[in-house]
Amino acid sequence: MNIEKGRCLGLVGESGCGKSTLGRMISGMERPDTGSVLLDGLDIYNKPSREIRALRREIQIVFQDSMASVDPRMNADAIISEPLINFYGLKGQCLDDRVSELLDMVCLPDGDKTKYPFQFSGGQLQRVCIARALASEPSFIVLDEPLSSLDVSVQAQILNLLSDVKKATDVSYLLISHDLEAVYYLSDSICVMYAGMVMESIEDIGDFYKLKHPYSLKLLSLRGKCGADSTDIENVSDSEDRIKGCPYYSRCPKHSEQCKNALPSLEKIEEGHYIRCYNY
Amino acid sequence: MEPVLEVKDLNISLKEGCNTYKAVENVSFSIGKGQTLGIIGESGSGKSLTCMAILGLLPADVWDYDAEIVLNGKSLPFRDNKAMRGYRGTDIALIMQNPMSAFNPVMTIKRHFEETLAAHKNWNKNQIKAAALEMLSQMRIKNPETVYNSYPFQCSGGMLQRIMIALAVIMEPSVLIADEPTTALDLTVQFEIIKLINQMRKKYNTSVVIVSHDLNVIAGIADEIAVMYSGFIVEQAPAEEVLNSPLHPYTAGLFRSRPSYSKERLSEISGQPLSLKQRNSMCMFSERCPLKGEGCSNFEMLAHKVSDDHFVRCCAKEMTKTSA
Ligand SMILES: Nc1ncnc2c1ncn2[C@@H]1O[C@H](COP(=O)(O)OP(=O)(O)OP(=O)(O)O)[C@@H](O)[C@H]1O
Ligand SMILES: Nc1ncnc2c1ncn2[C@@H]1O[C@H](COP(=O)(O)OP(=O)(O)OP(=O)(O)O)[C@@H](O)[C@H]1O
Ligand SMILES: [Mg+2]
Ligand SMILES: [Mg+2]
Repeated sequence: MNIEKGRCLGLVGESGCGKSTLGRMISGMERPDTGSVLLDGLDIYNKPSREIRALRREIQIVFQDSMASVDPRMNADAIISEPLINFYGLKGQCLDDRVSELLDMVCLPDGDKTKYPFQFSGGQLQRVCIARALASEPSFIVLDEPLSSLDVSVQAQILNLLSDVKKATDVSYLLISHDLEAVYYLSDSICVMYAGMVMESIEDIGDFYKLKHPYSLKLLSLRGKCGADSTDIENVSDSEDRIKGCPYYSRCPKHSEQCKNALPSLEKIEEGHYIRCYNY
Repeated sequence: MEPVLEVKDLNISLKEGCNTYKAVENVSFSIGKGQTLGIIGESGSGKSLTCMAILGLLPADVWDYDAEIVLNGKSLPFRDNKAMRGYRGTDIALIMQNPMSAFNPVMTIKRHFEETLAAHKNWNKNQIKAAALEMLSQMRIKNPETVYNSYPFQCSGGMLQRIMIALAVIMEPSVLIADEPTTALDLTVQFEIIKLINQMRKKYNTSVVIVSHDLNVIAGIADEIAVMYSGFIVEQAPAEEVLNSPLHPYTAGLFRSRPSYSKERLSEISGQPLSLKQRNSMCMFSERCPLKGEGCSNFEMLAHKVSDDHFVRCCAKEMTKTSA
């Protein structure tokens, strides 16, 4: 996958399909077995060690589980200050002002500086983590379910903020989310994953409604339908035994004999639209 | 209908030195057999605190709290940790907001099931395993056998969330309290979980309190909706009514903020909610409210009945008119 400067790629997919793992690999935290990750054309896993530090500033990640991603002994001030001190050498009043500014951007009051992680609600801590990621003014941010515990009104504020920051600084995002409406709002392109593979990708979010992989269609059909009488959901015999063919085979309404025996490759079906399916 | 769970005048305050700060005020609600109450609201408004308080899980050195909580006609001894152990899991189960912290990182999923079930049911290890695997596959966990033997860190965020739900549901509690149970789950799994909770309600007549910011989830499951803001339930009514004709300006603003497959800038409620220490005796929402008027600065957040089963805490003229 490619993410251009100042653009956002939305990544959606089944729970457990490898989105967070992919996010960690792209941000340099987990070395892939094969393949490479290029930032500005340079392989991030093959860099001279003196450049690693700069890399840490360039790529930031907002983790899915905010409680597990912060040091419980650091207060919000220390959490957000850390990158400001390390990368920009800020101190004193400057540092203090910048931390206040960042807290304000994520809609938290100044008084929250002295609070420790366990003193925040789920959504408040998630915003502290977003402030920290923005602090180092990176060129690329992996956002792993950044909205998952925010109420809709704060979600709107954060989505607008992310969109403003993107316009102002040309930062690029990988947005991992199950919230299709949020993905639609912030992303410029979209990628659908299933069982560790990209099943479909669309380069222009304007073509959102052209998504046509059977799994993508399933996701689209479920929007806003929670709890509706659920007889229409297929009965799954999920045996994880990796079959040779398509991993979606057993759930797919369109499967054929071919799908069972050989994995389809990711094919270009029109400009900017790729799909991994024989029978779309 | 006889209520299964009744919470009356729940007040929670934070203790800091000799000061106390109110975090939850006068929260009352009751739920009948098989009914579901959905709680939505501002981040930081006290939803999780309310859930924890019902189970007596707030540490007494940090929080002061008072309420009358009645379960199946009997008053719950929520201050008595030992006595509460007999209720937790069996009578009331809680699904916590933060899945990772609900697990012991050095224990396998198997041990979690064994410890939960051994304490309450007289089952041997094989029976526990069979029941657990059955429940895990109902949660759409693939290869439950492998997951059963793994450690929490080996599971993805959404998997942990589902395992936690399985641990709660397997006890067949009469009240299930679910704090953001579907936040990190993709739509197909979300759908299944809501379906499962709905089935449980039908099969065992379980009463459910569900906290979620996901309005689709709430719309799909709740009979009644309570909207929280700064520690108060600011609006409460049957689900349809809140969703179709929200009255409180916060509720209305909340619904307007929702993205809907467009790139147009999202509507925001300007400003920030008050933190615990800033709260005072005016309407908590007034600083951000489009209907702000003179009465707001000394409005004591009284509940105003719009109809028999619908109240709002708002003093704007628009509200009083509707009742006339
Ligand atoms: N340390 C580990 N050891 C073994 N398996 C692991 C480990 N970490 C992750 N996995 C497995 O790898 C798969 C992908 O996990 P990942 O966290 O990337 O999923 P995800 O797409 O982010 O899911 P979710 O939407 O639920 O967060 C899962 O099946 C998970 O069980
Ligand atoms: N230990 C603590 N010390 C001080 N303040 C705290 C502490 N724990 C929670 N708070 C504050 O109490 C308020 C209520 O928290 P609670 O966790 O109930 O919010 P919530 O409604 O569940 O929010 P969210 O939707 O973000 O999870 C928050 O404003 C939070 O900052
Ligand atoms: Mg994940
Ligand atoms: Mg909470």
